[in-house]
Amino acid sequence: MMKSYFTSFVRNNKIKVALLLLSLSLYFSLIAVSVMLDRSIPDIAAVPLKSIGVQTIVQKTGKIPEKMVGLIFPHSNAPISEGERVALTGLPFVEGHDSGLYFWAFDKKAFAAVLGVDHGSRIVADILKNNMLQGGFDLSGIGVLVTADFAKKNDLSSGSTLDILGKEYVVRGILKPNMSGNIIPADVYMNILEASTSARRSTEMHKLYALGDGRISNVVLLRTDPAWTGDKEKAIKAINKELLVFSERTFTKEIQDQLKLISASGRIMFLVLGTALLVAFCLLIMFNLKTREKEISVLRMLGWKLADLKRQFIGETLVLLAVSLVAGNLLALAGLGFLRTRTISMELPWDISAKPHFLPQENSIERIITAQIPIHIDWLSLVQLSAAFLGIFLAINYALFFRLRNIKPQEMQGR
Amino acid sequence: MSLITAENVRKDYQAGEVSIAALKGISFEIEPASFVSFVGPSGSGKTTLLNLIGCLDRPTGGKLTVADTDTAVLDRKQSAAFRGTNIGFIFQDFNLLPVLTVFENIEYPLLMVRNTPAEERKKRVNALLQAVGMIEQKDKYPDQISGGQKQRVAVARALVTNPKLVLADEPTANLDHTTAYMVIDLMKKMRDEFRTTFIFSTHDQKIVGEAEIIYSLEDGELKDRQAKGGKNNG
Repeated sequence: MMKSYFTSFVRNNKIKVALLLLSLSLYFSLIAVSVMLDRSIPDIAAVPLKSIGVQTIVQKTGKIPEKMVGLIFPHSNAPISEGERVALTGLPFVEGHDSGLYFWAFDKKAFAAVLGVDHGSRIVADILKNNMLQGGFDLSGIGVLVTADFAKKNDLSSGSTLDILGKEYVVRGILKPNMSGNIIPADVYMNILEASTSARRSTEMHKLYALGDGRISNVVLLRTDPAWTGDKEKAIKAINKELLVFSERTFTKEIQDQLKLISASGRIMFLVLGTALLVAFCLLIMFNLKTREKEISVLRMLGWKLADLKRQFIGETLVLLAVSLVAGNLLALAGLGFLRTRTISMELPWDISAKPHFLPQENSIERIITAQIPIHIDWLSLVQLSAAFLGIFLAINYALFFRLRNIKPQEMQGR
Repeated sequence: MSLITAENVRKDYQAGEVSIAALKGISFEIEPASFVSFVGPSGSGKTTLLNLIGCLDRPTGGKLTVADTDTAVLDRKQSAAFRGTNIGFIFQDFNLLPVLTVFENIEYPLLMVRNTPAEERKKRVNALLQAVGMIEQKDKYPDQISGGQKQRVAVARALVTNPKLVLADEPTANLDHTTAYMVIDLMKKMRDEFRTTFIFSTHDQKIVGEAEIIYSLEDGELKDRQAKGGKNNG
């Protein structure tokens, strides 16, 4: 390749070359950013559940209390049987587990979301222990823990008594607010056996479910092996198809919708932009060959072979593409750096939200989770993407060189 | 031994179903280091002949040998290589590459066709720039110099690969008389210095007089051959 010929061409076609470089590098950077975002979706989607240290929450579709038929839609409050619980915790990808009984208690004074937890569990109990504001962690007997917000609203402190579904409990400690990042958040935490007793006192629960004796649970938390490559949701549904699974997959679609670049419309935009760019690139190559036709015919007359011309023009394209790719990669890195400073909001499904859907005002606040976008730069993907980009455009360039054959060596044109 | 031998060379062009004979079987010989002119009115076949000698086209019949090579047997690739090695070209409209400087315009045949090392290229190009009196303008672009200067650059470019033959197609047609004579003088000077054969076509009678051998073409046939000063008898 004749470098001086190329640099002279660039010098004389600054605007054309600059526009080409800009459009190629911008398009590449957009693709690179969207690929990185796409790769980061599992990490982003894992953010909501990360706050409670599990990857999967299992619940079960419930029935509607008689009084509320027509007012609300089915909720995931159905008890998970002991057999189902054991089957769930025995799944091959489960590394740790916990379970709880989650219910809403209504009385004339207040509404309370209550979570019954295993006093010695290593998941929920540990979170509670680490988030004590006042008093101590004690869920034995009639002892309960309440959140600071609930305590403030109901004028409670350590040692206060609290009536839940007709039974009096003693507040043993106050917890920090929002400690589970709004995942299965409760106002009141009590021993799961005591929670089971409370549930049994409800006439409605008896009408809806066969409760049996012993401990009742309707939430199973699973800490899973990230390296397990099978379909976890399918394995869980195989135990009972009515089981509801909340995992990173739950949030993936929502994240894609928010990160417009990788949504379905984003993909269409890329396709349209990409096609437009390819067409523009083809036209530019054709235009370039057309405007340099005279030069090419002079070069051919002076002894340049077709192979020399191809080498020259492919060399030029290679340099332009390389510059575009370097600029595109830098732009992509800058874009990813910027995205790392941004947050994404995710709306929790009703089923694992704090408040029932008929309390929309509170829910609207508590169902939203915001998280910083955890973008990882995958260098290998960037290299592969660059190579693919280079390959496609070089192939187009090469394919268009059939036109070179049509440009004959300059002939004498005397009078 | 002749540099160019033409034996009954014919060239026909097809225009639809009609065949037009541009050259009707011409024969001649040109010795090395000659300064030759082909003259004739428009359509006489002089440009066609230059295209054949320059391996830019092939004869329809007869035999044309240039530098011991039968031009009819060369394929496209071989023709390109042959031109790059043996022939330099000068055009009436100069055909300099507008994106290259004067220096680069002279340098690029060496770079691409001969792949000459940088130091040697620089030396050769500067020597030619000196010889054609364009050393001061070496960093200028073609649109920054006059027509006469452009043709000087074209002469230097034609000679840079040290060819056996330079073909000049109406080299003075776009120049005023004074400049035209200067260019012809330059070509002669280069012939003397590098022992390169110069063949040019022209219809300017005053310029024709500068040639040492004049071939007159008319209607595709060689009508006359005049030699001046007994320098060539081919």
